Amino acid sequence: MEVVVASSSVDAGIGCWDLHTGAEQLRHKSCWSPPHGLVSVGGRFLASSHLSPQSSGGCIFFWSWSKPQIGVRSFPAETIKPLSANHPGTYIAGGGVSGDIYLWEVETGRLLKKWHAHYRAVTCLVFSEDDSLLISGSEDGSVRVWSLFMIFDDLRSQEASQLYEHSFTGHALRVTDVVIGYGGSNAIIVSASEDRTCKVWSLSTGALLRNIVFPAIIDAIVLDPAEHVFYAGSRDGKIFIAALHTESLVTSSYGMHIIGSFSNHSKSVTCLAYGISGNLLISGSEDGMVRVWDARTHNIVRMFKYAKGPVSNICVVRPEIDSTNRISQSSSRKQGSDLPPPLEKYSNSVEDLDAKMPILLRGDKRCAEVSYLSSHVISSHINELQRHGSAAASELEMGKLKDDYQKSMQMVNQWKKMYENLHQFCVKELLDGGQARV
Amino acid sequence: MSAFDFFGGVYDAALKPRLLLSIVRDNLPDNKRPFSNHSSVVSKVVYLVKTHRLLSESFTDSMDPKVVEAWKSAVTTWVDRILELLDSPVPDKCWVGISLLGVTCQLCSPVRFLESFIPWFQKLLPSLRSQEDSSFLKVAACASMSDMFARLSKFPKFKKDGTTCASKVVPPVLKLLSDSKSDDLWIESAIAIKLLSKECSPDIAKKLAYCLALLPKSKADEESWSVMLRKFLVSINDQLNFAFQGLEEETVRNQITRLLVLPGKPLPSPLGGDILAEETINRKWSEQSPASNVPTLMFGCCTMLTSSYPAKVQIPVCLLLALAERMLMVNGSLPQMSFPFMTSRQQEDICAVLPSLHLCSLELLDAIIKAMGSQLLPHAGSITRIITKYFKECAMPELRIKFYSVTRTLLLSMGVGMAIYLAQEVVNNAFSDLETIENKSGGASNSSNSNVSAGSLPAPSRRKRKHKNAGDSLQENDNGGLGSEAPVLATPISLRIAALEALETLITVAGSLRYEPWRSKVDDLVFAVAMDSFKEESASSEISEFQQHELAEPTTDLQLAALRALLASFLSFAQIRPPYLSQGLDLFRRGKQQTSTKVVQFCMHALLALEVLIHPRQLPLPNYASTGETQHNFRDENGGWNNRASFGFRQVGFDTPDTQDDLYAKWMENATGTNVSLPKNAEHTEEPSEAIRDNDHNVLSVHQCSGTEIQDRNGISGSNVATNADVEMRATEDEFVSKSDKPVKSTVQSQEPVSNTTIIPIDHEPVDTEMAPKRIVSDDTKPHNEGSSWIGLDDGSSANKLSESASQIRTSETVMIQESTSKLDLGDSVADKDDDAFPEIVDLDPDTDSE
Repeated sequence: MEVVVASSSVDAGIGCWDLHTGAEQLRHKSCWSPPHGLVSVGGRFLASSHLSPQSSGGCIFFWSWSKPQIGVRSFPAETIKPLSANHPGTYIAGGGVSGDIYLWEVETGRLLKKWHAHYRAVTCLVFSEDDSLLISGSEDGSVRVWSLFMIFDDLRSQEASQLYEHSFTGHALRVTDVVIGYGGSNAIIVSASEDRTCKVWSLSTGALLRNIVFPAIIDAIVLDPAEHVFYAGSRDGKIFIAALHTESLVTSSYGMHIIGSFSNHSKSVTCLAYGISGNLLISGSEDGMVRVWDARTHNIVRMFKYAKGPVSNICVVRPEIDSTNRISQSSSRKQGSDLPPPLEKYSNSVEDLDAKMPILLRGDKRCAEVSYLSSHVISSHINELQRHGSAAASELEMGKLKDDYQKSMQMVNQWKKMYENLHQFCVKELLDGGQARV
Repeated sequence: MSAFDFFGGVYDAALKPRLLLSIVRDNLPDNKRPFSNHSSVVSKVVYLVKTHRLLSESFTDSMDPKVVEAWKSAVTTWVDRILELLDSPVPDKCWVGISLLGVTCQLCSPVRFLESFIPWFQKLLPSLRSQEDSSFLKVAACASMSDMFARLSKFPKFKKDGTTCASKVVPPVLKLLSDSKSDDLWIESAIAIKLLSKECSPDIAKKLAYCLALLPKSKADEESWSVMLRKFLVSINDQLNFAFQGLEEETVRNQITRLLVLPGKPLPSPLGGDILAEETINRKWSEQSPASNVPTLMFGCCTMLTSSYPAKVQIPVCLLLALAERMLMVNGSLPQMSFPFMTSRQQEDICAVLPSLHLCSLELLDAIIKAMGSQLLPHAGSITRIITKYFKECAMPELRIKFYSVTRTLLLSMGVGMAIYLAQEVVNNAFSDLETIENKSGGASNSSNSNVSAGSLPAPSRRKRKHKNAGDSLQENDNGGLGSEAPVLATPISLRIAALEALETLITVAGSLRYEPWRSKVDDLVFAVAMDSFKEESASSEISEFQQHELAEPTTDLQLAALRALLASFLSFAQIRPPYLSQGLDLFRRGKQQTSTKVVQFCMHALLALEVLIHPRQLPLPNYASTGETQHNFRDENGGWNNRASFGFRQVGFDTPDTQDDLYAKWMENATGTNVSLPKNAEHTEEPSEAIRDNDHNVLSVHQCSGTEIQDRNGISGSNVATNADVEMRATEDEFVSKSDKPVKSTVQSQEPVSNTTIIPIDHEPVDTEMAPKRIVSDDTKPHNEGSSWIGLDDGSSANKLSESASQIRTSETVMIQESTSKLDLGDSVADKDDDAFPEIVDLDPDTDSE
């Protein structure tokens, strides 16, 4: 089941819809999430940063799929806006308004690392496909690529002149969105900014591959899974199609590399997502609607009415409801919920003593095919018997011989008896005959 | 049944009951008949029953009800006969009965199995219990029992029945296991005692450890898993403490102990209780080599880490890592102060078992990596350090193979970020393991290789390996001809395969990262090895039949590994065309004609994969391929984007000031690392400066009027731009154009007798190969688009594009030449230059294009 999850920076809860049937699921309550603040952690639960109008500091809330209430509340040291989780859902990264990036371990809630990443607030965070790199965009216009190994390896990070692997400083204004494509070290990174450009960067070389100037500010981008094009949602309500690995128009009406656009939004497009299985593009708008487009024909397939207020986040998630329920049944009974503990505010310096990791061991599912022994045993035994190899074999042979011997003895006895009988009979006959003659 | 009651062939169900009945009648013994020649009869019975699925009772609706009935009754007859045999007082008949009951459990229909497994179980149980039966019967009974439970495991509904049955089996099995009279042993200690008693063979011990590792699953909670793991660890630690006395620092030992003891909890008892541990340790020196149980116990540990577990568990990562490192740290040498504690005999003993200890600690590392997955991140640094530190020192092939496999696991599970760290290490080690081949193949990458290894491989280990190899490789070189002796390779084939696999993984994961001073050297090496594997093929054919048989498999595997690495290397090129592509294709084509299916299969796959590289796809988007303008730019585009060769950067150049072109080209030159300088003729060195100026001009003009016609270029190029491009190339680099079809090496030898490398053609190769597909594309696209409005633009656009490409070629060419000339002065410090160049460029890029 694919679920479209949408949230807003004005509280309207978290709306969930089944992408294929269109049925609305549970609506989770109390969520004020800034852009890029909503994330599904490994499909197990939802996490969102929270900018409540009442309280001054920001917080991070967790919701389990099955309950509308906030499950776990965490209060980090500063206001966190963008959140991101790696694909298995073992780490959550958060970007602070001070430009720091925080990295928490989900299972224990420990704050593993915190480092100063940007001069101004972090606006978006995204993990690379293999989860070894973290890409961050900031209000200061820079996009930086972090190797998590470097971050964690204290020795090396002290040696190195800078922590980041790449720092792209091409944007003049706030970075609004960053996405990374497939292809391991050959992947491309696309960043959008308030300076009305999107830039395509090469992860392997760190080079700027393409700069695309749009007619309006782009707030959201999403890559076509095959990376022929990317879609850019603009503030004037259009979704632009920009060329990546395909032909592009030089003299198109919009500008270089922009193939076209489509729109049914009266208001600005705030977020975009791609349906994993159905080749569907999902857009969220300031008018509170979530629209599902056929990515090929650009027709609207579905519309979800989210709220009056603007949609700030959309994710497409495959919730792991079934498996978690089964697996963590025992633990959830104890804790009363299947959510992990809250994220810690400060990192614990004495981590070495307590360096244990709760891990779910998922072996490969080989148990389906069981192995049967009997026929092997039979053949090996037969082998042994044929060679008269072992004591056990001779024992068996002995048993058999004994049996034969008994049988033969029986036979002998039987013959004897018969002989006796015959003998007696003959003697009798003879005697009787003699008597008769006499 | 009449003698002429025929049925419809081998697939007719009517055959089955009849065949089964005749088997029962003719082949199975019964209580009355004596039973001779059982061996062949039983195996025949099993074979028939299995192949014809005689017990399956798989009825379909279309079957004749008579047949169904007949089959059912036949199976019943079979089962009755078997049960009858089970009761037989004669051991061999009883054995047949027990064994065939196991087979029946495996093969019979689910309905029948569920109906009757409980009576069968009760029939089997006595033979497990009985004291006086022969061991044959017991073994057969165990096997049949195991089959019964295996089958039962497929029916989750009957779990309860299974559990009750299992509880009845446990005591007799334990009794069999311990051979002791006491009944009140519990499973864990029974297994542990057996395991530690050193009376069992390694195979059995492994199975016992496996049992122990699976034991916590019966409770399936976190606590029992942790306790079991801790017991394993304590036992291992005890043994190590004893074995490593005097060989390691006291601090290491203390650290482990500190990690083992949980705060607020007593030290868990080792496996099998304290008494046993004492006992075994006391007996150790006298009977066995030290720490002989450690590999088995470690195997149990690894099994616990890698097999699935229903609950979340706490893995004591630090402890496990410390343990692994502790074992790797001991190398058998004595620290100065401690030799009074040890006799030389003891040292001898330890050194004898050290390789196995190292091996199992590597296995532990492997298991940790697999178990932790992405959560390893905070510890990745320390694992990397452990590997880097001990990989260099390790000289035993088996251990190095294991090191390679651990490295691969690490790379695969951790991705690009890890590759940045491990790349140099993997490359250095792979070079040292594969270098003999290189020496043999002579030339291609010799100098670049020594460049790498001399720079970064530590001297001592290097010398060691060199020393060892020196004699061998001499021997090896004439060996192929002698034919009397299998070629004794300095590095065993399995090790070379492991090294190649590690390289392949590295290239796959991080082949196109910018941190790649190693990349071109690896390409050279991989290509050399692949070439060599084909040479070896011919060499081995001279070896006598007998030896060839032995060698065939590993050499094929080596070839396969080399070809795999080669394919990965080709496919992962991002910035330039693969330098060895043409020769590589030839290798794959040759591989396709070989006898080994594996190689043929792989070569087919490789050719398929490379086809995309040769003919980059330029598929238009389905809903946007309408206008001519699109077409025009599309062709512009695909040259650049799909290949991201030098054209790709022109594409970038559109958006960025053209001053960058130069930089990019330079950067490209650096990044690709094909950097070995060579003396060039004076005329060549003069030309570039001109060409560059000229070239800049061209690029500029392209920029200014991109998308429209270029007047000055069109004047020259007109309709036959393709040839024009060639001409231009010829003007600058005529020999390279002319040699494009020849093998690279020959050109080098004829051209640059001074140079000791083939690097130059590598640089130019991409340019040559680039042109061909380019032209094909431009020719190809025309017919497709005829009739569209595009035609009007045809000439101009293609001219435009091709002139651009031509000039572009010249850019890369000339800049490269300039590079190489400048490198003449720099001499050997090429590698350093690379490193310096990167940050500079990276910093520059964003600045200059920020407008």
